[in-house]
Amino acid sequence: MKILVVEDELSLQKMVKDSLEREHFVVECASDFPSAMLKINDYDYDCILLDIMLPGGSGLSILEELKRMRKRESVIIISAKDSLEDKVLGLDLGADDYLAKPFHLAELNARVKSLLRRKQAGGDTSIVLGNLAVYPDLRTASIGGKELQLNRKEFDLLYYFASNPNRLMNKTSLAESVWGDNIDQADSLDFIYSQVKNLRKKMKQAGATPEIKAVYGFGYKLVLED
Amino acid sequence: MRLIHYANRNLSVLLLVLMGVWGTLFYFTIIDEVMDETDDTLENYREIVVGKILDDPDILMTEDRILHSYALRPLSLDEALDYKVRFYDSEVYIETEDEYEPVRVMRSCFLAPDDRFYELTLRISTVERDDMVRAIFWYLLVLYVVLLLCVTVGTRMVLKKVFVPLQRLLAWFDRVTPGKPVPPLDNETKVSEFAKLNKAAAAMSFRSQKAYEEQKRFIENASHELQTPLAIARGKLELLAESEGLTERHLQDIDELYRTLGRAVKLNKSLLLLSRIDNGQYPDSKPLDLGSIAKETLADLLDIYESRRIQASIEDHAPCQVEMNESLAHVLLTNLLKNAIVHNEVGGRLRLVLGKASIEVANSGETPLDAEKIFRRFYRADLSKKESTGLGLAIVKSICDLYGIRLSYACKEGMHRFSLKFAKP
Amino acid sequence: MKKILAVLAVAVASVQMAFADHDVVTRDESRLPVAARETIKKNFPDAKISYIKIEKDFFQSANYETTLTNGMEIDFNSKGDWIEVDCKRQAVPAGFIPATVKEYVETNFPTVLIVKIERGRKGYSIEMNNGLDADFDTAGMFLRLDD
Repeated sequence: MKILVVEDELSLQKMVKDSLEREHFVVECASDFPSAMLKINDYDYDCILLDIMLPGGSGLSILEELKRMRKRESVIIISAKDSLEDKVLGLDLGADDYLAKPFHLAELNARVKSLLRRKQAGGDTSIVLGNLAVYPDLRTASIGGKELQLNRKEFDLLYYFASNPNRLMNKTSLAESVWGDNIDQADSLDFIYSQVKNLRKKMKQAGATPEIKAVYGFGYKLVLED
Repeated sequence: MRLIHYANRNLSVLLLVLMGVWGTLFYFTIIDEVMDETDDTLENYREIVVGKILDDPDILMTEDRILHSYALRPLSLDEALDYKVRFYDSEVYIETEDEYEPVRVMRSCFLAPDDRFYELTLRISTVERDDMVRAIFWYLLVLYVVLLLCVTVGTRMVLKKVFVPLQRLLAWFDRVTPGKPVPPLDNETKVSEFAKLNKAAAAMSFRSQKAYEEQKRFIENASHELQTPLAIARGKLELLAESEGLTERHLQDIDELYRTLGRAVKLNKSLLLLSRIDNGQYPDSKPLDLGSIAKETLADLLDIYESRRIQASIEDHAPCQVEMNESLAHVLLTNLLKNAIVHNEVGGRLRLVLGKASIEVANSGETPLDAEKIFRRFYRADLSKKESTGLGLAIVKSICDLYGIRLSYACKEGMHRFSLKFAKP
Repeated sequence: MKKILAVLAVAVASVQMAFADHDVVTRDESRLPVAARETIKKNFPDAKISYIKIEKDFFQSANYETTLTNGMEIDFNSKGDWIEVDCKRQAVPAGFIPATVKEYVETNFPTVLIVKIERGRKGYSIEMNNGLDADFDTAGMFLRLDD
């Protein structure tokens, strides 16, 4: 899986690269408009993370170019300019998703993976981890073929965990990624604690092989036993 | 009170008094002069009569029986010694007219050639004089009233014309609104003070407009510029947390850092949202059923804040149809409802009242808040709530201002009530 | 407002003062200046004063018009100097007439009487019983004649 990160801020670029490489993607980077165009012309990627404001040109022009070249790369726009017009324009020009800075890396992972699954499997977007299968489109999950009864919040959490297996996720990051900005940090702790507790219980009862582990003081991790 | 009325009233009162005093003074002076004229005439008569007597003492024996205009009376020496000339008003019976007529009388004394003192009494009719005095009085009174009316109406007209540039300037001020382009000031005037005022007003408006724009742009730019560094810092922390060999202590520190950073991110997002609202970057609007959005939002929030065990009730009186931007509608209701949950007591009440053109959100609370301050940015009524950005209600206010929604706060019957009143379509 | 009213009050008061005084008519000789009384006694030793009219002008300087019982009239200024002597149809006593004036009249109108003489800042002016008037300067030199 090859991913191109077009981002002029080098430390952000490196951070995204590191994070994606941990997920075993092949990551290449471009830090300005001309080099991004060059890379797009020369190689094929599975996914492109595109910053809109670039030295030497707009990320939107790259989108146009991709459309013109009839390339099928999935594109996620990453923009500091969290404006509705940019979002609409980007999606109109063929971008698949839009992520506003600053984002959680786990969120980025989830989005990238979701896009890639959709593209690869020709519509089958399910995630399979051990005996756990998550079907995002149907909003259901099963363990060993048997459906797991989850409420909305529990499903959202599980989907998020399943998108980031073996990654350590912060409590507040989990809360925010699943329920947006509406939750205040202080409240998110109790909330996540009780939700994760319920989810763990249900998974354990159904005999799931992946297990949500608490990392004391920081957050949780979905661990898949090999 | 309008300036024109104020100036006109003051001028009129001043003129009323001045002209009144002047008129009275004028009247009495004229009357005095008229009276004096009569007395002067009497003095002249006296000179003529006495002159005649001195020439021809035989006249002493006569008396005017026709007009009763004079009479002579010998005086004793004692009487003559301290005789004083006297003028006085009196009446005299006129046989031909069979009535009394007012007269002015002068009594004086002189030494006749026969070495005796005589008193000469002269009379002159004052009927015509009194008529004249009456006429003068009425003429003056009518003149006074007419003049006063003319002056009042005249000053009013003049003042009105004089203040036209001021009125135009004031009308222009009404059209100047912060955040909107300054309308052109078309206020031609020959009066240098007004011209100066025009210039100053226009310059000031442009300056404040510019400052306003710059401030808005600054906040937006600052928030934008902060996004990338914040993203980097947070991502790095996430990666760092996954490093090998971290102790629990390290993880706790990282968590604290992460959460602190989270607050900065949230603040920044709220600021960006505020400046976007103020910059009108949410243009497209459509008819929305705010009631159902409010109910959905409330359900979600109650879900999230389950631990606060809020007792929520909804009074749905009528569907609340309002035309506005959808995401702003969500932001508005979320902030309002979240405020009612987060700043509620644990286990407190929350009441959502939906009307045709109004929404009220009430939550338990005894102490009234400072209605002036709660909608200010970064104002926190409860300083212990460190997690709150202090921007939630400021965002609510900005959105209300944008759409002309009347936002009000009251504390009644143990509830904080925030109400939105929408303009009727 | 107070200021304006004060100014008005002063204005009213001064106007009243200026117009208030009537001429005084009296028979009391003692109100005449001493010089005037002496002038009368010297020139009209037999005459008696019928009445005196005292005119006061704006500046409060008086003018005394003295009428004698024989109808003659002598006017004095406030100092008691005579300014006009009107003897009706009789001759003005010689004491009032400067020598040059007398000489002029005797020379030019030998049969005529001076019935009235006025003394002013510009000189003398006389009226004669032939109806003619003559003006003289302060030194008594003849100036003009008119009827």
